[in-house]
Amino acid sequence: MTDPQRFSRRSKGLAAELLRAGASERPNEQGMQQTLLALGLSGVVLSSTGVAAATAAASAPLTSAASASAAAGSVGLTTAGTVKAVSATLIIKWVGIGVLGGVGLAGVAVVASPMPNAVVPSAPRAPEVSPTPAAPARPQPRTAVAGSAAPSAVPPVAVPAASSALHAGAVEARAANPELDLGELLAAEVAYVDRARALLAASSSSQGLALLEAYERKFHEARLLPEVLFLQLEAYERSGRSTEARRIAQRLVDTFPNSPHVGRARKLLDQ
Amino acid sequence: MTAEAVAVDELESSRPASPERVAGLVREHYAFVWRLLRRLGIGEGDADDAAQRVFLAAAGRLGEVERGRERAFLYGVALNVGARTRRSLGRRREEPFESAGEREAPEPNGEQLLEQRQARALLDQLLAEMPEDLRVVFVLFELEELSTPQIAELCEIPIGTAASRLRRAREDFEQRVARTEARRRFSGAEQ
Repeated sequence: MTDPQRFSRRSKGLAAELLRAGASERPNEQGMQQTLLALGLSGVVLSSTGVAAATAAASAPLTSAASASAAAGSVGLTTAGTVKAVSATLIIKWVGIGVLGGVGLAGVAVVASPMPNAVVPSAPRAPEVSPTPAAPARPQPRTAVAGSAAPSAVPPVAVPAASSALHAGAVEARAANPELDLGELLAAEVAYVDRARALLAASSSSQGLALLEAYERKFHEARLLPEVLFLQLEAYERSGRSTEARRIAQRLVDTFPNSPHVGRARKLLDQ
Repeated sequence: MTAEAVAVDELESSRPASPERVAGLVREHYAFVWRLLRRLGIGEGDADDAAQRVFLAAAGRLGEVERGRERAFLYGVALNVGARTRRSLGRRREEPFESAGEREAPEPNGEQLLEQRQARALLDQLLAEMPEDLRVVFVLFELEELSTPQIAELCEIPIGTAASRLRRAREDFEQRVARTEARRRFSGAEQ
């Protein structure tokens, strides 16, 4: 049987253009990495590149706690026998008692010595892992998240408890698995907000706004929340949605009174 | 039952595959699954989530899947997750600029990017109007470049049926494109 010539192979024509555009669309690497994390496979991924499997516990994403733990259990951990699986199991144990081994590139040695401590929230905008966050922390921890986050951090890297996940439904998943690869997830958070900002700047305000509105569902730590609220405020103002703009402004003022973004919010509320 | 609940069920009723096999599955097929979901009507903002659901669900049963049959298996899961995701999203109609990909990979210049985004938005619009059975076959052939026998295997339909659907799908798509072009010409002439 001979297949017909594909439209995309035609030299010109709208059908060819459309299909070529569709075929050229690619997912970003981040989505795949998040999926691997969700499956508890970051250890496999990292160890394959010579990096410690500190994040094998898969807190990332999506489904319920049951699914996340089931994913880790059924996929990553029940097939012990390899060094990776063993190290992942050890890490899971630490995670199980709420200890976070926030070891990025430092490797296995650091994983072995997690120390429970008080939570040290990270600076709202710091994309990199910082030992002592200098920026003012948010005054009010977001309780919905705090409940799910492990109340501990590792001093040398000041890792916030649970991570942001790219996906909806992550709260439940992280309640059970607060382990994470902080660097990756922070980077994901920053990239997400940058993308929203770029869309807003490119006049795709509805899509940009949609991303901003979904931000807290996707990143339950929401380290960039002040900035996200500010961007939302601006976008609503620009689109003439003054009620929403005021609502966001009020929330910004109430929740982050020390944020540099608050000035604009106060001005709006005073009008 | 939500897609998540299905994923949980599937995971819990499964036997595990090796982590290496699962990781390989994700690395090898993520783009295929993601693009399939996109062209089946899942918006860009939801495609990562949906793709993740596919792999979460698939990973739990991968141990039961014969080697070499992974893509067919993923395809089935993706169709299921895609349908559920669309329903749960209330079949949110995508608008130009909203459905188009703003991926990080190749970033051409602004004009090209805009054209690509517009083209993808229009493509999604046309695909969304096609009957589901035709759309699936069309997407697999035209975008994923599978052969008719491969499509038949993936969709678990006879080759003749796959060929017939493909023929109808291509006619359908061409007609839709022709109508779009006619509308464009008309609106261009008006201005």
